[in-house]
Amino acid sequence: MEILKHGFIVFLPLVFIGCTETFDPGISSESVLCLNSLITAGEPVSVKVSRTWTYNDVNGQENHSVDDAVVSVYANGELCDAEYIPREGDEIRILAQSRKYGRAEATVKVPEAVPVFAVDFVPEVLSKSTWENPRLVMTGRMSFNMRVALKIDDSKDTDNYFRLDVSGRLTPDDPEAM
Amino acid sequence: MVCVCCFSHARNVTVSVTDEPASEVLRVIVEQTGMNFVYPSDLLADVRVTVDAVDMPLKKVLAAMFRGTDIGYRIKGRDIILKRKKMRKVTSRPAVAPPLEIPSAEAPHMLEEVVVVSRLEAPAVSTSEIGAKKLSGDEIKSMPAVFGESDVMRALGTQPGVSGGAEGMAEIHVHGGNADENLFMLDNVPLYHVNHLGGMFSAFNTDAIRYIDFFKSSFPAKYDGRLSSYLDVRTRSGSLTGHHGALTLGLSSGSFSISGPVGRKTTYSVAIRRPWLDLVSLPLVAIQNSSSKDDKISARYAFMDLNGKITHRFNSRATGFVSVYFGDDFLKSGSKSKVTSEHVWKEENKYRLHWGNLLVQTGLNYRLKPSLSAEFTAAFTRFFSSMCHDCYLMDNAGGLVSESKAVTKTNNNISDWIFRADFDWRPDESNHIRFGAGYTLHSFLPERTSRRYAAGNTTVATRDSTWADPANEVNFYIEDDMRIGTRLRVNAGFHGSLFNISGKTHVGLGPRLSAGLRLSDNFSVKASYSRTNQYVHQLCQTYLSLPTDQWVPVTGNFKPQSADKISAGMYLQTSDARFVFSAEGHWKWLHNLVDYRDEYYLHPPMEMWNARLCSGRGSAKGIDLKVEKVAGRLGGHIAYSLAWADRTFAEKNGGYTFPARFDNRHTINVLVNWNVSDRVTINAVWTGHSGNRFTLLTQVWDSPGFISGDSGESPMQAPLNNYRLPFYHRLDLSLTVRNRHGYWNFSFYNAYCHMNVVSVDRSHDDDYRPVFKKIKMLPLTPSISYTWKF
Repeated sequence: MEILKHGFIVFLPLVFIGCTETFDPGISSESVLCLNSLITAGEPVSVKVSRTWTYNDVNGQENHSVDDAVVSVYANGELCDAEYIPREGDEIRILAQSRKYGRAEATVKVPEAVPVFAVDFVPEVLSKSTWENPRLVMTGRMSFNMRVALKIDDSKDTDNYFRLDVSGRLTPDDPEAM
Repeated sequence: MVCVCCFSHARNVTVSVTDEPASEVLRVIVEQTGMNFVYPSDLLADVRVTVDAVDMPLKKVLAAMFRGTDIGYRIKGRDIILKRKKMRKVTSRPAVAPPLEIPSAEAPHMLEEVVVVSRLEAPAVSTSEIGAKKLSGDEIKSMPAVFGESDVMRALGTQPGVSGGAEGMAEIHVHGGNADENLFMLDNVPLYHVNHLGGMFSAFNTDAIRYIDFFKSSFPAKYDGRLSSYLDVRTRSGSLTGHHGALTLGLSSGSFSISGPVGRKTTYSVAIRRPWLDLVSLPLVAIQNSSSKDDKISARYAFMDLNGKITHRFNSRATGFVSVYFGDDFLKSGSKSKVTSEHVWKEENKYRLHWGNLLVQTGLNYRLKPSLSAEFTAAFTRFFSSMCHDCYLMDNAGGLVSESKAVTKTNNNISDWIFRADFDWRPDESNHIRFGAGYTLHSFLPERTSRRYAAGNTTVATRDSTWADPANEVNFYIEDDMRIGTRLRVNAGFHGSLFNISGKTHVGLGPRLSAGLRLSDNFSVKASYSRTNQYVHQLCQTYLSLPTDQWVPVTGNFKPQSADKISAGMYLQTSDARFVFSAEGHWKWLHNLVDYRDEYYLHPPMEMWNARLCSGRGSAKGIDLKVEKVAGRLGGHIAYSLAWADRTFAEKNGGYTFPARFDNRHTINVLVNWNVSDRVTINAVWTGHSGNRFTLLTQVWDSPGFISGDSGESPMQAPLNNYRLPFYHRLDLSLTVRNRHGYWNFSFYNAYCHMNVVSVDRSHDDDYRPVFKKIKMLPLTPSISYTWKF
């Protein structure tokens, strides 16, 4: 689909003259409470409460904080205090309430950690180069393919999911070290 | 022998026959002019005529046909009424008109039973059908259209209850249905993809069209396989009188058609069409590229149509034909970027889209006996589309070069082998029975995506697991168009189907019933019920009609789509038949609809395509009003529709009912055809309708930034189709000036230059403040073309 969109975006304006016009759609659309949380076993619960705003509302874009929100965290049905540390298997319910923007809640079960038995990776360097350019922060570049083999225990009886966070940036202080 | 030329002016006829049944000649005239013939059932029995006319006025042709006979004619509106003249004896015919076989002179008598040439040529008040329309090729050509191209879809878009879809799109939506719920046929064989250029042009070249039959409310039992409408486009055959043709050159496209005899019994007909859009785009691309040395773009689009037909008349009872249609589109675009300093970086992207239709068929029309005729058809139809993205990256740092190339390709194909037999039987004057059966071998390839990435010595290639699905479909039908007394007409029929795929067999039952009660000579009421079944559907990912919209069969746990539709109508025509008024209401229930589920794009890209789908239901209701002037130099109609359409899916929109995309509450169409003189014709179409529905994400929220890369604004899900685009309206004008050798056509699409909104975008203004923007397309577009006839 991305292919198509790009292709037509390049082509259509050349043939069919079009234009755009700024407007307000006038849809009745009110801000609602927005609740985000990151729960990791063994770490404190992180909760962020904000509100949505209409896309073209510049004020909302600049300030979408909620100053009257009350957040409650329940673990296995019991209200938790600030000292609570989630454990694997806990069922956590988070409730946020605001007089202005209503309420939002979510419930999740802390997944069990899946042990990683082995990680094996083999980089294949394709090219590397260094140069000097005072306008650029990056003064070196390396291209490589990385083959990664990950060995985990995925029980077929467990309904779970995995997130592979593949990211990284090589920023050696000494370009010669690349 | 019957011979029809490929072109004719409105009310001008080209026909050459020698000793042929008069009823056959009338059919030829109907196809060329769109006029109706009404006559006593025994009037033309055993009447054979010989006439040779090339582009002659209709009246002269009729006079030549019946010269020397006791048959007279009278033109009343769009009806030509034939009856016997009060003649004492039949005189010998002049030399210019060969002798006729004339039935023995009979005393004139009153018209009671009448025969019409085909089911859609009778006045609406006298049939049992609701929402049926027949248009001749010339009537379609008289419609003004974008870039000078008249278009079947746009012509149908002027009918009440038919919406033209998004701006510029040559597609139709009937009674709130989706575009894929319309069955388009070329000589009774389905075409799956009927659009060029994302829908800007339809695949039907009007040069090759004899006439079209269109049904949108009550459906004859012959047709099934779609939920909303049926369109059968009939193509022209060649001429036996000589080689005739037409060459049309316009600002944006050209077409050429020619037909003629091959021997005494065989004719050929060829029509081809091609736009010049790729030539138009060349200087625009060059201008764009001249502004930058390192950044270049490329764009090229073209399509072509080819219609060919060879007809052979074996004898007076049997005629065979072979025809081919090939439509082919390709779009190439790309970009090149280059950064040169101490470090050279280059990126090239190429996008190639290719899609089209191939249809080959052969048929035999055989008259088993005077009251029974048969049509045998064998056909192969194939739709194909492919997309390819080719990305090349090169990094040269001080002579150390790294390169990578990524290619992604997606294919979507359907191939059908079709074998069918249709019979037409008139056992007596009160019954007209049609029956038949057919077998179709389908082969579906809904989507196959392959990816290939190469960098250095490493190559990674993947291909998804989608396979081609074969399917077997068997259809059979029977219907009887009955006249019960002089006032009541009933059409009762049944269409049955079996669809076998992946070891499962689905059964489709389609009862059809329609009845028309003529309360007076000029007033009738009708009612109908139809059940239709659909085994293939198209999945639309975007607002536009694009070749990537995959045709997929019913598979897995999904059930075939079906629809129950009831309709009722009343029809009134003035005593002089100049004006016809109709009011038709409908209520439609749609079952087992298939669409993408919410957040389908979160599914893994290599997952089977049907894992992203869900099933639901829909409904549509409304009323269509129409006033039509069918006679005189000034003709046309005014149509108004009031309609509602909605959808409900358990896995879409949180399970709540939402309005359909083409839930156009009010639609008004005004069509004017003014024959100023024999040489000059002016046509105008004004279209206005409530805007299409659109999902506009109005609220945004700020990502919390808990994890790396998770930041910035994100749109919040909104109710589906929560926003109605602004009211759509447009005026198209066309002026045709004829001369001895052809005619000029001047047309103005969107004559008062009201650019309609096709979409809404969340964007930023010049100060980078967030704003909503209407995207408008297609301003006033004048075009000119000249058609040379030879």
